[in-house]
Amino acid sequence: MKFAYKLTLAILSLLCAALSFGGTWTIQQNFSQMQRDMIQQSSQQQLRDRYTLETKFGEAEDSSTKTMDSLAELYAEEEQVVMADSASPFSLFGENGTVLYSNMPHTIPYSDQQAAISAGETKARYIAVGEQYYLLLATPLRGLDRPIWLVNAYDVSKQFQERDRQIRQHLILQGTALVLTGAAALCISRILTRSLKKLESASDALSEGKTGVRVEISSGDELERLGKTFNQMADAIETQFQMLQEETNRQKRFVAAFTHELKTPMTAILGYSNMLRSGEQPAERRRKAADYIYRESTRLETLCQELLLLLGLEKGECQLKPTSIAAIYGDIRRSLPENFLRIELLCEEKISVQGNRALLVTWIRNLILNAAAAEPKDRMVTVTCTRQSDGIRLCVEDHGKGIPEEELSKITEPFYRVEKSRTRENGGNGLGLSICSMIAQIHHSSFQIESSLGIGTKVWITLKEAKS
Amino acid sequence: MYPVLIVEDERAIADLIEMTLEDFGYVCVKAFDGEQAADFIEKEKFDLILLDVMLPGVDGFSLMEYIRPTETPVIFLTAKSSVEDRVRGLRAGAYDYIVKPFAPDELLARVDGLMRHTGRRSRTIRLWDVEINPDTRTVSKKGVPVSLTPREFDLLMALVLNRGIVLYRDVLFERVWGLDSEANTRTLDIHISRLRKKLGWEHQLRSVPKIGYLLEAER
Repeated sequence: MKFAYKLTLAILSLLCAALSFGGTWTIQQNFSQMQRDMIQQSSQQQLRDRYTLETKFGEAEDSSTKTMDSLAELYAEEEQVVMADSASPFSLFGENGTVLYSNMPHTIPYSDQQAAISAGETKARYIAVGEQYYLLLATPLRGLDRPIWLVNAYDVSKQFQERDRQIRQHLILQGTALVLTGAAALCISRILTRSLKKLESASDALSEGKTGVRVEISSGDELERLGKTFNQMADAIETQFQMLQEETNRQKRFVAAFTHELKTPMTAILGYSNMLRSGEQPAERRRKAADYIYRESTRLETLCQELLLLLGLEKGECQLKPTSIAAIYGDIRRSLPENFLRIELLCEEKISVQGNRALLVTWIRNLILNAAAAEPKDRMVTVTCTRQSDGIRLCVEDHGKGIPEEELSKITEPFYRVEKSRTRENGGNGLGLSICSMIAQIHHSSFQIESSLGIGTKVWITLKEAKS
Repeated sequence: MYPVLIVEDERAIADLIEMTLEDFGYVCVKAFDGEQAADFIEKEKFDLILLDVMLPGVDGFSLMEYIRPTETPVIFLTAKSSVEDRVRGLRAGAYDYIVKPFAPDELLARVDGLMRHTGRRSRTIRLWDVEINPDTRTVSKKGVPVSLTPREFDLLMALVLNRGIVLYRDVLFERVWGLDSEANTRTLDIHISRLRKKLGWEHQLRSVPKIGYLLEAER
């Protein structure tokens, strides 16, 4: 059920309960008051009848039933004359419930009259006969030599009709009030729940995967706050979703690039080995084929190793220890081939950094190889280590051809190459900078590149100095 | 007859293609990047261009712009096997598409097929007095049709595609009968002797003891 309906129903129920209670109470109060008046009035009337009858019976010498009967009849007739319509019928009962006299209508049962007697003098008893209501009052006649009870029946239909009329009137009033209030409540609930409706449709849209879903609620209450929270949630979800999608795209690109990287050596290896195994080849061709198979397999092997290194780095299984820059420089000198570019390794003073020796060597070495591929005019690469305010900066700089600005953001992606396939000839497989960037991350540093076309490239990381 | 231009930045693969086609009498010219290829296309005429899509400098699709006016048929070589890439290649006007890694025999069969279809080579292969039509899978000797079973024809083609090379028995068997065949190499020997007899190649189709079979190259 809609919230607006629930709200309306709740309001109506409360109103109905309140009106019913109020109405019932008021009518009840009125009616009680009327009853008290009726009883008082009737009692006085009965008292008059009693006195008259007591006097009449007292004056009579003979107290036989017959005499009484005629006296009572006589009295009743007199009363009829005097009181006209308002004369109330009465009965006289002797011992053991014997009827001495009665001008009551037959519709008033004997049993009720008896019950009125046994209830006692002060108790009023109402009976309904068809449309008519009677008040039965019983009282003993005093001062006689035998017990006689006088039972009067007073017609109180008017009072009961009055009560019924009040009830009907109240019901009509209540019904009208409920209908009007219901309509008003429904309108108000709709207005109040309009914000909820907005939220609902926005949630629906969001769950269907739509983006850019926002709600605007300015009701100044909890709903407005809820709307704001919802918008924040939608923001968060979209950000998450974008990140996930980026991650998936990154992985897709990685797999595509990886298979592409595999396919070239695979084609060569398959082709040449197929050639060798199908028949006797001339010696020259055999040598060439074997050579290619060897070289391409080596390429695959290097690719495997670097990929494993990269995956290992991604897992972050690395220890950082105090490492002296001098030791790192020594390793680099030993690892580079002779007759390579001129490498300048500069360090102001004795510095130790918190880092992984092998990884830092790989980092510098990869960058030197990259610098070499950039064909620096001065055939020189400079590595510097300087103390900065935020730590120790390790920087590799060349004066090669530089990297186009639009490529800078992509070059750390695995297998990404600025020049689609030329770098392969230098043994590059597009993983070098990814590894460098990952090494920087492991050392809690950002990977900074500055490059301008035709002038050169500068790459640096910032390391923590080791306390000696 | 003009040469075949191989545009491929990977030397290993360029050489592989060259070796494969050389055996079948094709003359090849190699270009290792887009600019070099564009130069060749401008200056010389070719019967066919084998074009790698991923090239340094000018890429394969851009090269198509240079090639189209010359009406030289092109077969794309690529490591990308997605349908979009293939469609893009064929839209650009490529005649065929070969996905890396490819078997040299497959490359040769496609190249040869293309050459014959485009009328750049005769529709049939002539070896001495025998004429083979790979499309209709028919063979005739001195104009008289020779009836060959499908297996015999497959064997003949395997020999023809590798003529001048001594083929190892088991590899030749594997090529014609497949890896999962129940038959053994004796079957191969029987088929060889039947081919010899049917085509009258007693001297040209030689058994090389302990190695395999050789179909002499035509001189």
